[in-house]
Amino acid sequence: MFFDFLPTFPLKLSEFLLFGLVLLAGLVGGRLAALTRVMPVITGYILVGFICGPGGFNLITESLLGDMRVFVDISLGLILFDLGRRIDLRWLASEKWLLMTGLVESALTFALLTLLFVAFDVPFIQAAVAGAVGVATSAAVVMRVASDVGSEGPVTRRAFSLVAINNMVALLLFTSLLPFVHLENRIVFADALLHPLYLIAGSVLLGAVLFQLLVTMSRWLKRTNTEQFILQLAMIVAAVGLAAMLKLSVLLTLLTLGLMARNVHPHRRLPVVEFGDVAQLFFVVLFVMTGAGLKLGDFSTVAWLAFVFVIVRFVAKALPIFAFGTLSKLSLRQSAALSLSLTPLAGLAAGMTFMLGDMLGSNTPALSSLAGTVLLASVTLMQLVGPVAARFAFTYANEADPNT
Amino acid sequence: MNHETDDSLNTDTVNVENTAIAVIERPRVVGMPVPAPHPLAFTSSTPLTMGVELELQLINVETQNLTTEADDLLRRIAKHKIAPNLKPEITQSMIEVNSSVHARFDTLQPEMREIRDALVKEAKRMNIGICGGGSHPFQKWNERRIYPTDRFLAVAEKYGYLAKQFTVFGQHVHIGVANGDDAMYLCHSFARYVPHFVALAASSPFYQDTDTSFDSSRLSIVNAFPLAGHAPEVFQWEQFIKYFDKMQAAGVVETMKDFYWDIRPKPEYGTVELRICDTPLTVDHACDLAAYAQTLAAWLLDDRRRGVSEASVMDLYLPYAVNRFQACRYGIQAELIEVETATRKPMAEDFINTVAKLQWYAAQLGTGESLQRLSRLTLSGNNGSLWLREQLKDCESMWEVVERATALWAT
Repeated sequence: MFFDFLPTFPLKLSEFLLFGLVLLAGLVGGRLAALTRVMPVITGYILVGFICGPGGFNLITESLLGDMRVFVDISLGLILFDLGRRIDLRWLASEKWLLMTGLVESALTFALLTLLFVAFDVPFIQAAVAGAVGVATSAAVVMRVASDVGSEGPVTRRAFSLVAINNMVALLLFTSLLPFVHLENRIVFADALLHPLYLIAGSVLLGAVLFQLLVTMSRWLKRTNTEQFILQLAMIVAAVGLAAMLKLSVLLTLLTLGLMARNVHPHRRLPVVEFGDVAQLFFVVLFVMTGAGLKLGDFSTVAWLAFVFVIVRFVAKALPIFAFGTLSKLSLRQSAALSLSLTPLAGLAAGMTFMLGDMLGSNTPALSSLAGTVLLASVTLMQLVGPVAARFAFTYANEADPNT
Repeated sequence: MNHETDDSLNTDTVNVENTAIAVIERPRVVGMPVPAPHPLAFTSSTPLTMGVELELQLINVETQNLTTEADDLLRRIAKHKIAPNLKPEITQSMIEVNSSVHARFDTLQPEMREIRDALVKEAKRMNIGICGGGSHPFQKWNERRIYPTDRFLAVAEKYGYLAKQFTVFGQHVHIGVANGDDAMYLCHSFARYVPHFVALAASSPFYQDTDTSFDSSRLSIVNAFPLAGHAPEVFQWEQFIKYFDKMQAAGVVETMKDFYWDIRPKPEYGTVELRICDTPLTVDHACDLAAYAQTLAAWLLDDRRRGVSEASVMDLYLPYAVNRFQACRYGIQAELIEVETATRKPMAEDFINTVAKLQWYAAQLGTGESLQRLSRLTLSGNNGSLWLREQLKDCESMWEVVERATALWAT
């Protein structure tokens, strides 16, 4: 054979090449979004992902999406840990109206969304599962948008707390409903009961064990930013890997780790390290991949119902925020901004639906096709609208950095 | 440092008994137009009354960095009875509190503690911290946001990056005087004791994530302003007005606020304003410093031979900058140059000797215990900067130093 030294066709995209291309494409999208002055950069990443993904030109194929999964998981791990460490449990305990806001808006969202699906003849359990998924707000979108616009202040801080609360509530509701879904699918009773228990207790326990390890190492190492940064990053990546390996909830494990990092040993806490530019790399990949995962095909069939879903969800969250906002001494403008900031319903919600699918086997549809399709369509809608709404919210609250 | 503070000493809640602010009486001739008073006409106030202003840090309790929520804090506390004691400052990361006018330490301290408690309580509800100290150890000045009032925006426009760098935190003490001539005499006479105040209040050893090796790095920021320094060597208020008019006519300044002097007469309040202290780490220490200023003023005003004369004022200012630098750099361990004897002596010794002379006045004013506390602090060398450095040595992290300083402020 001649020319053995040449590569063989068709050329295969390696993970390295893909990673580089995704970053480059993301950068272009982010830059274009920034030029609009209303779109957050992550919308640029998502749109580029969508255009390059299976729903667009299929440059990022389904199998490549799978290959990139590891980066996405690390990104989510970073975000959830970051969310956890921003939640001050002592503050939540003393500022009871905020905790009340979180619990009531989560409950109301769950109730109204469940009713919505029941009204469209979705069986109750499945409607409830869809309702539970709808409670969660995208930590990734809210936190990255806040970071991109340099948002800091009362609305931002409350938004993070509410995001954490409604993700926790969503997860609890979701796992509590699992036994019923299992039973509907004729799975052994013991499994049905033990599964949620394993999922919740196991994830919290794993988070706690890793936290203890983190603290021990943190005290042993020098308390310089560099060493502490590497330590925390390493622990987060390991936590993501362990949670996945043990089939536990990545969300709950990382949230537990972050919450403990902030709240245990309040007078000798772990140093707060900024993940900075390194993490930014992962976030670009996360949102490009999120965009690539969107499918417009499903969207068109249930668009109007997805629209109703989004409106009902917004109202269910806004009402308690306004009601309790006065008691928390929030201005109307701050309450409005806070309500808007919780609009993003995103990756994690989709993650939960997929998780349910994984658990029950791909042959058993977890949700009725209607509820599932509406959820995914809403996710698609909110991936595009949510970041813009969140960006507007932080700017409207006067908390975005005017220098950014 | 001060920008808006000039008009911020709270006069709304003045205790009339303590202040008896009186408008200067002018002779009137029937049928003659009454000339408008000069803007710098000196308002007489009860001698030795005092007021305190403190610039405080607003802390993000998660990162221990400065936060940017001054406007929200002021909004939330607007209906509280301490609201008139609060003012915004140049950036959103600071807030200024000021006391009413007091004749005695034992009414000043309870009021300052009450303001602190109310502020800490509201801050806790907001999940932010309130912290003393002259500088934040690791905030980045370029991340600061200007508080959006016309005056602050104008200052930011005029001074560029200096405005954001001005996110340092000072204590100002006002001492009431009967007239402008007394004000000028006290301005100059206080100047000799500036190193005492700098060293005792010093609590800004860290700046931009670095140990500056200074006890008070804050004053280096103030030095960058073109109109920093000390008042001109004039002794009569009439002369001062002429000086000001000349400066104004030449376009050097527009108002008295443009002078960033260490000690400044304040004609509209009828006070002399000491502006060289870092905000201490506790309100109690801030009150002790005010008590020292009050007692020192009493001693200086009681016998003019104790202070500075027109003949000796030039000599007074010869070592001024160096002595001030010594106090900033070495704190209580500073050595002061005395021009008249051409000697150097330890600042601590100078302070202890001064306090010894003040005993009778301290007994009259009820400031004896404050002076004792300051003397003990001087002998131990344990000022705010030393405390902060010890914390860093213990915990090895700047952000934990801030956390501890925030906890200290609340106690």
